[in-house]
Amino acid sequence: MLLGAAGCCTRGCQSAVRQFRSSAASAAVASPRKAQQQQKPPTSPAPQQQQQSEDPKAASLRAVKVTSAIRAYLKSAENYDKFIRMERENFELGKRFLASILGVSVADLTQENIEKAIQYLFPSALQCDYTGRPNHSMFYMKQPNFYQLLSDIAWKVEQLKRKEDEHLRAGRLVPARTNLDLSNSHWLDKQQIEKRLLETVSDAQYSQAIAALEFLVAMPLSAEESEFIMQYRNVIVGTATELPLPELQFDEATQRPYSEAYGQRKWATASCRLYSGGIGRFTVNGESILEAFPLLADREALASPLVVTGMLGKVDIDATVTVSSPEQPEGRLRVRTRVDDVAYMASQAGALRLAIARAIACHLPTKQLRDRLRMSGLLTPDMRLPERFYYGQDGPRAKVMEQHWQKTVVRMLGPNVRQQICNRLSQGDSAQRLFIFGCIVLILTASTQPQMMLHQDRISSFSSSPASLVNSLAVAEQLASNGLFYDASGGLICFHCSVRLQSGSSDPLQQHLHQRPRCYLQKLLRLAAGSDDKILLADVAADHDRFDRALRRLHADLKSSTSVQFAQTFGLSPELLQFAATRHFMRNGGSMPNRAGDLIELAHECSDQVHPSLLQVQIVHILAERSPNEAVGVAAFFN
Amino acid sequence: LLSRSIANWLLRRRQLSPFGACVNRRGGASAALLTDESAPERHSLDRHVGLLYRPEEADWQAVTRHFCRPELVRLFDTLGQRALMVRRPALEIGERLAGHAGDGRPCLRFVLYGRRGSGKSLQMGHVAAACRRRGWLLVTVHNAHLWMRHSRELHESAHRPGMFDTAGYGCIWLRHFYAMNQEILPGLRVTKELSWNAKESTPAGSSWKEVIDYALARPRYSCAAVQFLIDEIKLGSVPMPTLVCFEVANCLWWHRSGIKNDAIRRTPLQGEEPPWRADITAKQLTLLDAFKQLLDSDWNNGAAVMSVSPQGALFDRLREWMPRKLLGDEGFAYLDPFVPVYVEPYGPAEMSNMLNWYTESGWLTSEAAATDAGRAELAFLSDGNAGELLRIAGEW
Repeated sequence: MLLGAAGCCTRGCQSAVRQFRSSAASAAVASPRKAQQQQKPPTSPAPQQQQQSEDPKAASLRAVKVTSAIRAYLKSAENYDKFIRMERENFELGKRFLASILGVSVADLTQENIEKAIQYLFPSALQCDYTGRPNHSMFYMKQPNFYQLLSDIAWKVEQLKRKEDEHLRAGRLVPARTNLDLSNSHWLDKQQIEKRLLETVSDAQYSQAIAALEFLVAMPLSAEESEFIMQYRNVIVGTATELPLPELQFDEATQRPYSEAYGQRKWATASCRLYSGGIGRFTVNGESILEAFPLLADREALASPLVVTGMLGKVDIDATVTVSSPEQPEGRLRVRTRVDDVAYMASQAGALRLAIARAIACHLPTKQLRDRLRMSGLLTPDMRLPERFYYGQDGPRAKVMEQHWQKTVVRMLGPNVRQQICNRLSQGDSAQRLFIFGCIVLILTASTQPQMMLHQDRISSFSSSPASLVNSLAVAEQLASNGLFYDASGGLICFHCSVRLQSGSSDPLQQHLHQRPRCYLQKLLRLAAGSDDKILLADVAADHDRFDRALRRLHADLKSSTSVQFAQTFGLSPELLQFAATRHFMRNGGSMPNRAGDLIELAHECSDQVHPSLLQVQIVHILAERSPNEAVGVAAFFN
Repeated sequence: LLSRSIANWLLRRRQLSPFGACVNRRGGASAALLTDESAPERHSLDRHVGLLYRPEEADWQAVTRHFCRPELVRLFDTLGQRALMVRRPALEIGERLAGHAGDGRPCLRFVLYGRRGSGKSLQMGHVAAACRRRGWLLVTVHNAHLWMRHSRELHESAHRPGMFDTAGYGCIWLRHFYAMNQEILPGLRVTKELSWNAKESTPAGSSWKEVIDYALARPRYSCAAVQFLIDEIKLGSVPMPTLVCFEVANCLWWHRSGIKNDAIRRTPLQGEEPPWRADITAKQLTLLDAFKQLLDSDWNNGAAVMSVSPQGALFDRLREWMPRKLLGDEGFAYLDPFVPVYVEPYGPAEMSNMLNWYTESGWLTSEAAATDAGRAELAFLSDGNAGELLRIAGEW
């Protein structure tokens, strides 16, 4: 046995040393040595076996006729010798190894030292007694500790039964309230149980154990086993101080006891008057609970304090709930129509739940019930408030995505122009805003050179231009932002109106204006740049109204057009169809394609002419965003 | 669900024994109280209130199922059995009707009101089934408020200029009317000639069946046919008494509707948001106007039972349920005088019986629902509301 243990010792030492002694040097020395030692034994037996087989005594025995039994005996004896020899060698090696760990010479290492070292290194692993029997009676079960627990519980149940019987036999009543009060603790969860038992247990086994423990708890006199039971429970340490609960009052007229309490959550406040000895009447602001809280989850929240204390249907409650939202900006409270009934309801229910829990606490007969209320968190106010509103965002944490038309403008005209347009939109009046949106839709759909619509494409077109025209990337950027690109035949061309600028001009924008004063692209660019040209402003004043009417009509037609819906059944995307219809509308002075066939033809025409990335542009989005106030209504109408 | 898990936990704590023996279960559920009297006209106020009865197959197929909401019909199909509760409002109306039939007094009008889901339609169905067994003519309209939601084949009426026919709904209703009164209709004759257009007419003395068949073959005239039949009823040419049932009667006085008048397409005012098309309300729909005439009290030998409900109301009045609010000034003035009948939430006995039946029929499957605590919680959560209880019971 000892030898075996010593063998174990050699194998386990390495980790043990690292763990307990933390001597890096000795570990570094130990490991190569151990590797050598482990390699040795396989080489040694072979010559020894040869030696043994050439033993003269054995040779003489071979001559005698041997029975099979003797042969088997000899073989086992031989194996045994071999085994003992190997173990002895291992023991010697292990001893030397242990000596080096302990820092003493091999000669000084006594058997007593070895035993102490083993006890130190394996405090619990040797589970057998000196006869080789396991110490644990359930050693041969798969999960000895788990079954030991079940057995312990069963044993304790029997003991409690016996004690109860003794009470009865002696003619005494079993004392009341002798089962354990568990209101301030809960069972260990599965991981904790596993850690405690040092075994993995299945879900079914876990629930079996908990059911058994609960059965033990439910027995009379179970308080006597509290020490055992509490090993398997987590005690909740209450941090909240005892709340000042409302006083019980008496109604003069009806002589009924009642209590009053308040509660709050977010912006909602609630107060309630709770009568004990009732029939379950419940009114909120004079309405029945179903009318006041049409959502089931809210009513469940209200029921929870009553369910926990078992007072459901035994008390009458009159409650008042209000929602106030101080200093909320106007944009915060959305105009709701159909869903108005369920807005801000959860916070009202939360406030009322707290009020009910506080009011019912003083009606409860025992501290145990009050503790249960407190432990379940129903008496704890939730002091958090909603985060403030931020202008320009949908909600405190919801960032508004970049407007769709802004992305379009970036792709069409570059980021600088987009910034200018944004500024103009925020500073300019509604006429200017409408004009800008109208121009974007017009340019997007009715440009004559749609293949050069993207800012990036135009910049790359300058790569083949002569250095006299474009000598730096900044110049190319500037020209592209003005909607101009370089044609292979030489010269600058506007992608919207296809005008070819005469060469030699110092200011391309001015030149563009001079050659083609009615191009809406240059109007848009000049307006965005903040030009105060009187002719331009007069144009804006004249055109914004036309754009307004055109866009409104476009809306209505896209919405009501059966040809768009019909054409969709041919597998064309609604975006493409809207694009095609708008293009037709803008090019032909405000008429919609009447027949679905025309529209399909137009859409096919568009699909290879228009840049595919711009096809994703939904005209509808741009239309809807042309002014913030109208956007909501228009979008709602469109959906 | 916190409360539910607590209930389950309490239950488990009482029931489970780790060594296999089951502690006896103490539950609040007991057998549901059913009455053998399946004829609704024989239910009486002093003996049957709060009991459940099983409607006869013929009654159910002909009348009662039209008054149930689809969830309830599906539930009955799922469970393979039907049970309805005998409640006070239907019996009170039934008592008044039994004395009223056949004496030449003007049409007696009842307005059922109550919170949404309290069972107004089922009470109406109880009355209608009783009247059918007494041999009355039934004119029932179940979803007129939906006729105003979506238009189906809207066109201008030839018979009533300036108004609109909804031919599809007219056909559907005529078919429904014929199916409901199959035994009575072959015996009824029209008393005057009905002229459909310049050339075609149905002579006096033809049966109602012929009129209906004509309208079903020519849907354009379905709304006119409904108007003719209602005129016949109001003239008193029907030998038996007539019962009119109209659900969500307040829709007749709504100011808005989902049907738009494409013909009237106004030019928008400055800054006005779309849509610019005018609403077509019940006053302009010939079908609804015909039934509205039947709700007036200027005819004899009949009764009208209506319900008012916020169901399907547009924008406002979603939380209202009192008739004065729902009908508005105009509707109230039109119907006045009427007998208001309040359908109240379940009382404790009714609630208990209903829970018993749900448990017995296997609709409440949770163990917690069979305990006193679980039943109290169900009663609290549903607030005595039949429709809400049906919905919540599906989750327990």
